[in-house]
Amino acid sequence: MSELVAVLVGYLLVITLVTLWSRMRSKTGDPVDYFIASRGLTGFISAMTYAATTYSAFMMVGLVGLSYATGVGALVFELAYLISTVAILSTVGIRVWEVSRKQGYITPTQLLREKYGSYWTTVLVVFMTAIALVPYSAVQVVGPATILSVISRGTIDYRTAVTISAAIVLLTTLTAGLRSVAWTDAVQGTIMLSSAIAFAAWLLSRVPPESTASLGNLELLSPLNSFWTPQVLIAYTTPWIFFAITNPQVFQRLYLPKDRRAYTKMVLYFSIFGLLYTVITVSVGLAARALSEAGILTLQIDVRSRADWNRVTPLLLTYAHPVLSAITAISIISAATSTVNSIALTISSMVSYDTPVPDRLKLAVGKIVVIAFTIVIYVFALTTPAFVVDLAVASSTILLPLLPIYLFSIYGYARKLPYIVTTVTCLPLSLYLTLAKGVATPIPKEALVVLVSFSTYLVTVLVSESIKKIKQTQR
Amino acid sequence: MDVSSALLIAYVALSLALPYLLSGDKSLTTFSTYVALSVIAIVTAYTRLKRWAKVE
Repeated sequence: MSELVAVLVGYLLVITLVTLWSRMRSKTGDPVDYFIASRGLTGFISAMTYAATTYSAFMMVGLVGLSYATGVGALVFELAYLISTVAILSTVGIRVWEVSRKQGYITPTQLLREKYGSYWTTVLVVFMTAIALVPYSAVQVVGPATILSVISRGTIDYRTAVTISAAIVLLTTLTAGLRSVAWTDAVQGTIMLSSAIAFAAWLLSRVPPESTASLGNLELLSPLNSFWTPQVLIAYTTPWIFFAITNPQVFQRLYLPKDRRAYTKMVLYFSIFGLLYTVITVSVGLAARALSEAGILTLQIDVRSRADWNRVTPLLLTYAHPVLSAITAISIISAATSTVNSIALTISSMVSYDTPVPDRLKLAVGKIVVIAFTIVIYVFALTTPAFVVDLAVASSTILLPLLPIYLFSIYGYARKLPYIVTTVTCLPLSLYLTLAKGVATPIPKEALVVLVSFSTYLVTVLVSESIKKIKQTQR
Repeated sequence: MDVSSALLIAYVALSLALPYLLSGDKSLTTFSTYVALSVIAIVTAYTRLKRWAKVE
């Protein structure tokens, strides 16, 4: 217990010092510096903020549990995400970086607003993005807060743990905007990776070599098994392979590297981080299962109950040395807050720049949105109403209709009417499909949303072009 | 489309197709195959970006 408090106090001290240090490097009162650090980040800091933003508490809690219960299919799903993200960053991403510098874009939706020329449709995109990401952020805080209250045996209660997480989000976003977010992300990313390595090393050192056979016999080493059917694999991977384009908090990070060399380093360092972090977290889950099957650890997890999967990491922490347990718990808080503060800042920038806010008020409104966002996730994390949990699970799927919209704008095929039609029809459709229970679709609904969104855009292009030609002929 | 872009798209397609080819595996083949595929994708992406960065 004393180890946990000591590690937590040390962590909060480091985060505060880094935040204050980054404030000294910021240009006070400049919204461009506040929201995107004047596009001047080095490759290393860009990579760390990208990694810490994209890899959330899901990794050490959700992915460990998923690997424990379903096996190596979890690695397939998560590495398919990494491979597709690396492919996107080195193709589409470089165009985004070039366009953002040439046009001076600050937010992802600013690109849509200016390329498509429809102001109110972009406001709708901002609104739908907030609907998808606010619940996702709230649920991010729930897992680490539960872990902290469990391993401290109630000394740090759930409410206190949620308050600490919310305070970190406010401190890192309000002090110096993206500079403090990016620099603390770098520290938090380092904690996430190093503690995961230490935790995995401790666990793997206890696995007897012959126990791999038990995993094989349970079909946990096969990429397709009773859980990972082709349909499930497609449903899980589809939102994630396009995550780098559809999720604004990571899209905006493409604007940050100061030059091409910094961008290249960002992709390389992020890739290495992602590969290590994924392999380690899946190994933790598989090792825990092997130890459990061998009777070395008694975890009492019911693998048929999905709610039980998230208990794997908290239970493992009770077996670890108190210092290792404390550092790992702090790393999970780091993963959550580094994701949430990035989302808070991105949404605040979108509200400031892509809704009717006067220029002189952009910075002030951005900070007010950050505070309001944090209050909402604080309340949601304390009450966790069912609709928030449902929305959080569906967040990436809800944003899938933005895939064709962003791609066509980046590659110079932006058309106003298809943008309006796709946004107005497909975003509500994806929201409905992901939340409605018992709706049968011929293919996984995630893949269906992608197909319908592309089709809607292209059909509207064809129809509007045909109408234009007919009108020209009549004249 | 240049060769490296086509290769990167092929790696993404391969990462989605491999489970069907490796299904039924009871060893650590899937694990090592995906790690190897990720490394190859990262090296291809980095090579492409290094070339792009030289233009500046």
